[in-house]
Amino acid sequence: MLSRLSNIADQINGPMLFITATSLVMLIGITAAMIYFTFRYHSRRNPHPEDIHGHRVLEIVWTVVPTILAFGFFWYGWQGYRYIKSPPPDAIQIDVTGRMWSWNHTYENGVESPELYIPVNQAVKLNLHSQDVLHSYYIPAFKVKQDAVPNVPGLFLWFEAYQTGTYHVFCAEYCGMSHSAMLSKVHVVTAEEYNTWLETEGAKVAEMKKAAESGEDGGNLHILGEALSKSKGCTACHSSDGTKLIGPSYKGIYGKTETVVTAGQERQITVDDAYIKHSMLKPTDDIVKGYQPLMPSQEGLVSEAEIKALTAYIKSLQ
Amino acid sequence: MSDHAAPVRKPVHHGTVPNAADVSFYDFKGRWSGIYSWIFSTDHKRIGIMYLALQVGFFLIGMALGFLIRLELIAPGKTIVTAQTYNAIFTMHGVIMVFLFVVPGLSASLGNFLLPIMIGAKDVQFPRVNLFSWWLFLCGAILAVLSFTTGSGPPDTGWTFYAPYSIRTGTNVTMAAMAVFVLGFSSILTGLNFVTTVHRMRAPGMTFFRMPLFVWALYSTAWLQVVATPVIGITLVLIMVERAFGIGVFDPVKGGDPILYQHLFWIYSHPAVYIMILPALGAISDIIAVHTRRTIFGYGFIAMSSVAIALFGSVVWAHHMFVSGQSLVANFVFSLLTMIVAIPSAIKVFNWVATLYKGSIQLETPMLYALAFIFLFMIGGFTGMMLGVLSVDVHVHDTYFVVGHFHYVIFGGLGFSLFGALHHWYPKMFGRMYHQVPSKIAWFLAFVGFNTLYLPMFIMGWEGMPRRYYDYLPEYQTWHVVSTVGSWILIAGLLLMFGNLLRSLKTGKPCHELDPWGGGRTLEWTVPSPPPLENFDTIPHITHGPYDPDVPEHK
Repeated sequence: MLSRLSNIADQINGPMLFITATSLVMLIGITAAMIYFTFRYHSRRNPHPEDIHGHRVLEIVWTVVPTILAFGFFWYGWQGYRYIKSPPPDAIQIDVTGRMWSWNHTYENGVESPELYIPVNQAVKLNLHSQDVLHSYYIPAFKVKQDAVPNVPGLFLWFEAYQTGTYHVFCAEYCGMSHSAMLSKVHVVTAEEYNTWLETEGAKVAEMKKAAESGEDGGNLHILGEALSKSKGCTACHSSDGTKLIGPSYKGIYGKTETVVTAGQERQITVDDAYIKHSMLKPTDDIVKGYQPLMPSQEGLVSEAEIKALTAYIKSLQ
Repeated sequence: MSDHAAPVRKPVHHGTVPNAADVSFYDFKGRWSGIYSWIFSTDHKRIGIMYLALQVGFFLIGMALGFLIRLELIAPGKTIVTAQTYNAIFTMHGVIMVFLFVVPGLSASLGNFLLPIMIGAKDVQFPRVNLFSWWLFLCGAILAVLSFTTGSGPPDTGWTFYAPYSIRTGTNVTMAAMAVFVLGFSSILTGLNFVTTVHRMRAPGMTFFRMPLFVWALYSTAWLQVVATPVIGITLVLIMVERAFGIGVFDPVKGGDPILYQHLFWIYSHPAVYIMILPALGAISDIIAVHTRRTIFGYGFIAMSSVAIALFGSVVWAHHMFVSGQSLVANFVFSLLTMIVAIPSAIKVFNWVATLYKGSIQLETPMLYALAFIFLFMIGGFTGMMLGVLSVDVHVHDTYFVVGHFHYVIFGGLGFSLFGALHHWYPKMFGRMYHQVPSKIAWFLAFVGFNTLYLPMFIMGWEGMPRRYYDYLPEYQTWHVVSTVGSWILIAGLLLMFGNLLRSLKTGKPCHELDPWGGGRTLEWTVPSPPPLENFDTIPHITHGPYDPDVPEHK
């Protein structure tokens, strides 16, 4: 319950323990008094009530004592909160983007990952962004949480993990149908493991970029596309096996003739490279009939190279 | 259970002894008959009972939805419904319970029935506006039900309608917002009516500090209704405008500000929590005074604490937004103000417990509910302190901890108070006594079920289980199962309670005593049960405080 898995948890356990203990003492005391009075002054034992209008000293005591306690609780919480809001300047910076219904973590070297990898015993600062509606990044084990609000910069949380291991990430701010499936993981690893991971992933990014730019996919571009479809969160809404999720499945969609709704008018289109690209950048322009205009625009979030890789992946799913 | 033999039968000296000509308001033959004698009646007592009927009806619907929520959560993954249906269910549960049950709360139902009687008046100041409020309430309720059953599916935003999701979702949010808007007007007019009634209609000699505590609470609430409700009205109009015409007020993509929405929403909805709870606190004071058969301890402090709660409760709204990204200064101020609200609440609890001291306590069902209320309200209050403390809130915000806290305050607080008040004033309202034994069994089941249902939520919340989750990780399952089993016990108790109250309307022992509890000193215990159309034959003249004995030799 009072686990010490992060430096932030320390700031929260203290006040919680203090308030809980004080509350329990008061709860038990008052309840005991209530039960005792109810027995002692039951009409059977005390048929003649006594009218007591009040007691000035008592009133003062039970106004002043709770006031002191309340201010004490407040101050204790405020001290911790100030710490929670003061990241050290040398913290590792990672950009986190939430969208319905997945998380993406972007590292300084351009690596993107649906799960968070961090080194143990090092301060990490997550800068939070949202592409669509409100989300909230929550790691219960570390007791950190912060809302991600679209178009609001400067939202962050920071912490230092004390133990290696894998921990859960939740979305804590309700964001629609698959809110409870908007999960991720934090992998707390040693500093060496972290550096190796970051380098390996960085190399993959460079390789993909090269392949896409040269136009020679060597038959591998769709594999990179598949990885991208996961890290960018596409698979939360688009399946690869024909299952109907929030959006149309990728399977067999390339080359198909679809009925789409454009500005309220139905029309027929053929799914080709241009349509797929347009659907990523301006998804609400042409909505496939039977679906809701829910997808956020990926403008500025996917590069030309990534669009090529993703298109190759969709093409491969026939 | 034996009948209530009051040791001192109080002489009736405020009104006159009821005679054959003095028929109860049920038997009074007016211009209308049948159902029309109700829906066109401007009698505050009939309006109060009509509110009560609607509220209980919607409570049962809300309870059924709550039952479905708990059933779905008995195991991870899909149990009975899909994710979209689940989201719609908890939204409907919230909208129905908040806007159709707890906001009208004790105020619209019991408040309407009792307020004029308790201050020695024949009716409220504006009886026709009062009827109009009820009709608005009915229209709003119909709109709400329509929003669940028509169009593109029931809203799936949660009862908070947070932007920008509420603007983007394809579900029927616009009509639900319209429903809340109309319900808001019903609430505003009732508030206006009550404020005016308290100011203008008090009997001669009924000074402010001779008003019963229930009246003080209704009065404080009425002000909140008048001042805070327009804010939610206009906010939801903005949501409707944004959905219909694409004007960017709250959606950041169109240049709007979602944080502004949260401020506007909570400027109403936090005071709304006090709109819900204050009359409940007032009713508890009156129930305790009657069933201990002594004067209330610290009358002035309890009365003023209601006013203090209303005042401070109006300026704590942003404590719902500690992790929304608002400034540190805002968080500092709102956390501090939140702590201050705890103080008048604590004062009330201490005075209630002190009122038990040297009383002559009868453990009738209303008293059992009142004692349970104090216990549950304390847990709600303490967990509220934890949520108000900034650092702790970062962890437990938007988890089951909040769900547990909210239900302890609103359900354990308002709900249990309303149930107690219903039993307490039942003979006065209906001229019959409810069946005693089933009422006590129901109380016991409800109390045990309630704690089994909501106590595990604090543990789950502390362990990180987020709220509004259709699916969850297996490690949370144990407490979810306990909680779901609790919901069955609670529902069994509630069904028994409502069934018993309903059955007693026909089969309950006739009870026409002025004061069936033998401890009532406020004015409603001086008029017949049920009261005549205009409550008093002659308006009483008040010479002493509400809980002081009438007869000098009583002491």
